[in-house]
Amino acid sequence: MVEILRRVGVEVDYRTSQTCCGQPAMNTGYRHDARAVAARWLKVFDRSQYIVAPSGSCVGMVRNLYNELFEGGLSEDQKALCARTFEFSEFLVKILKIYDVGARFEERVTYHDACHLLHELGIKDEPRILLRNVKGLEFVEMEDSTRCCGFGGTFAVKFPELSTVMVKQKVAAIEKSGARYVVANDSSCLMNIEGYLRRHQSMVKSIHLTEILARQ
Amino acid sequence: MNSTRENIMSRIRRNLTAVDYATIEREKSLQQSNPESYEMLHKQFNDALEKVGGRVVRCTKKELPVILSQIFSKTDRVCVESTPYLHDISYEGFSLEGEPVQSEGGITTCDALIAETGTVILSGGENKKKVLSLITRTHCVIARPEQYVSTLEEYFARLQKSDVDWTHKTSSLTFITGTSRTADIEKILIKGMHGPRELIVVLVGG
Amino acid sequence: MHLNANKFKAHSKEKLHDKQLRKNLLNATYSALAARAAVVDEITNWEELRNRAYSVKRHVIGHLAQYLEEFERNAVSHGIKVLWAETADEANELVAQIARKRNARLVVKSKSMVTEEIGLNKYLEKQNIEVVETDLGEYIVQLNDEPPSHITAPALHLSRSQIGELFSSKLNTEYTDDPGELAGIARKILREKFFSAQMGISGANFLIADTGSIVIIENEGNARFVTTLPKTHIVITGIEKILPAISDLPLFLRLLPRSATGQLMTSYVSVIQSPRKSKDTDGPDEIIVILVDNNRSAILGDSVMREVLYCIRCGACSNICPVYQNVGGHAYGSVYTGPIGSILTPSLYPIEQATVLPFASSLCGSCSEICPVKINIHHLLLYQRSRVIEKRLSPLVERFIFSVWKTVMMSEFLYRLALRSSRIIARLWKRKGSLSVPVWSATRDFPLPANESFHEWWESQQIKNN
Repeated sequence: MVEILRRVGVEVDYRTSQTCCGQPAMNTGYRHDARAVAARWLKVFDRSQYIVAPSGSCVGMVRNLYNELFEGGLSEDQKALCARTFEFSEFLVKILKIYDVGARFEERVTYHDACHLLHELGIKDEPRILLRNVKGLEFVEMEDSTRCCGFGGTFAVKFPELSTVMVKQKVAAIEKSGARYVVANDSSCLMNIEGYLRRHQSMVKSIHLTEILARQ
Repeated sequence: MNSTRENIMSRIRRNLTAVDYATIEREKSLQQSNPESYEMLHKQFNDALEKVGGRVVRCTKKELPVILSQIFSKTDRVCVESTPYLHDISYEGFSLEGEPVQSEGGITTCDALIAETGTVILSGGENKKKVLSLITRTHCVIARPEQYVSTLEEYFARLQKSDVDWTHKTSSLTFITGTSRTADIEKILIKGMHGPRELIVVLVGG
Repeated sequence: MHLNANKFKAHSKEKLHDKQLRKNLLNATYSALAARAAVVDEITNWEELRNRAYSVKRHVIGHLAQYLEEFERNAVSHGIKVLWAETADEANELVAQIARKRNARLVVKSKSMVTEEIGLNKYLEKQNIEVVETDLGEYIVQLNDEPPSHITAPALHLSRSQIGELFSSKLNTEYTDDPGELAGIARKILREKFFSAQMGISGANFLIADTGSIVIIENEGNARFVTTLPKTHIVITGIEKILPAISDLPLFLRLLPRSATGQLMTSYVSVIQSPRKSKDTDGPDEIIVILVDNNRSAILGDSVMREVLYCIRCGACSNICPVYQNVGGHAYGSVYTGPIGSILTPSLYPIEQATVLPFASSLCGSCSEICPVKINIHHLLLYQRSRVIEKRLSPLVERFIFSVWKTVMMSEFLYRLALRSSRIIARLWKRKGSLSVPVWSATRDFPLPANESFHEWWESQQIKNN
């Protein structure tokens, strides 16, 4: 992601003290723990111009849930900071208005709509625009691209049978599309899908959007 | 009884004291109100009704007896509403039944036709026999072109304007959109579960 | 109905092995979604409709006392009796009293989730009153002595042959598995019941405050029978079903049938104003509305949960939920199933009895998106989870794990240490290119950590450039 941003002329900084946005605790109901970690996150990123992450769920947490987590206790500055936090494809397409990052990836690829990206942030077209502009890439839509892959954080370990059924259904759709790669913007989804693909020795491989866009 | 009501009401009020919701903005109508021509309303109604298993027949008042005899050619015991409009029609080709309960076919008038959804609106009242639209196998509605309305919103707007007292005058309104149906067994569509299996709207005049 | 919500994990596992159920579920939910999409896509301002519906519900629930009073006043002025019940048993007893007074031996019922919630049928049966469900799906599950498995399709978990066997054994009819013939058998039996019952009990989809109307929507016609033929008609409904004005009804009739079954309008909508008038040929002699609280007024006190009361019971959230699609309604162990059930149940009932349901979701958010009245279901799931944690109802081990997690995340040093040690542990633990991790590794490979963390890569870049 850093390579791509630099390639299109963006100055990138990395705050080395960062750890986590607090989402795992928030998702499991531990708001007290999440709040402490989130407050630290806000301090770490204080006075950033833009904050970009290669993950819809982290950005969804900051933009949509921080306000609820702090029960209206965010300052105006902090609210503005949250509003300047973007997911990577969203940042390229909506903020920088860049649709082609000069990438090349000669494979048949299908896209999985990660849930937080889609439902929390409303991002559906941006990744597709970027993928369609990758040289040599053959893009195919899978059936039910928006259906959940079954990860859901602790859901995957609390209800493993259900979670596995869901990833099985997702992989069936991927394989039906004829793609050799499934791409998504969320490492959790990818880890889940990849885990099933490898266990079942599938011909399909998973890849993160940034990995494709970085290839030249 | 009163104490139960009071308990519930006071708990509701207590739990909503901090609430401050503005009134609903109702001025902006969410429905397009294009004055449709009669022919367009009729087409819309016809298409919508056919999709839900009903059909529309057009005829003049003179042709009505023949049309009805065709509709009920295979039905015994047809019961007719006692409204004035239906009184002076000479029914032929089927036996008339006085009691709704014994009838297989029923003929009623209606209050309005909603073009958007293919809905027929019936009200209860003097001389009406709304139950015929429920217990028969074949229900026939005699309607007139003036009864077309574009949407349900428009229907209620007109109703409130024309008859401020309607809520007291009628025991109930029934909106009928197609035939009785169920898909409760394996999602297989079955027509005429408890209500009529056939719905025919006969549009007289126009 | 007896709540069995905390057994979700075991029940869902069981349902996953039921091939017939899963086939029926996927077929039913997918076809419902396709039907819905067809009629929603043709509405260009669907979002506006949802927004308006949300604001109407927000307003009416926010002023519930006033609108309940208005409804009562207007309904009573048309000759409808209005009674109130704080608890399930109060409601049941009110019905039983009326039945006794009227010597009702046979009651016909149309669909009402509130009556399932309060356990009305069993209560009346204990008093030797025969209660017959008349909606085909409800009739089937009643014969099978089980609760409905979906808000709008109660028997969707049963195949035609299962229903065929049920009918032939319970009704002594010749076996058939033809849906049309099965429906015909039920029609004949139920028609006789409609005509001989002394009392009809229905729910209500909406109560209209300014006209005192009771609105019931359906496709079969059984609710019309129930509310027309017997001499006494009782309406049992939750206090949250109120809409302010009749002019609001068309909006909800535009949203509900499309969302539930992909119809423009259900076959029948009854707008009931009064018992039969002197010149009417049909209609009940009396109509009694029982307004049931059963903890709804308590939910009003929770400003976050309040919007769960906006629900119009369309079932769309269940249809789109990948969890529901795979396990069905019975796994939830509650009258209210699917996503809405997972947030309603831990508030309507004591939360200890339903701690698992809010976690039985991957939080994908499809439910919130499909909800016609814009209830933020997936955020309410998150909220219910935090309520479970606040009440200290989560496992001790889990609480401990998150304390440790927090400590690590609060310190750059500890975080870095954790990453480095996980890499070392992974090297020791790996097998055939992947890690063996409890629970996860039963069905999926777990990736090895990268050789270099992003932080390390960044630092090495900084060093290179300096």
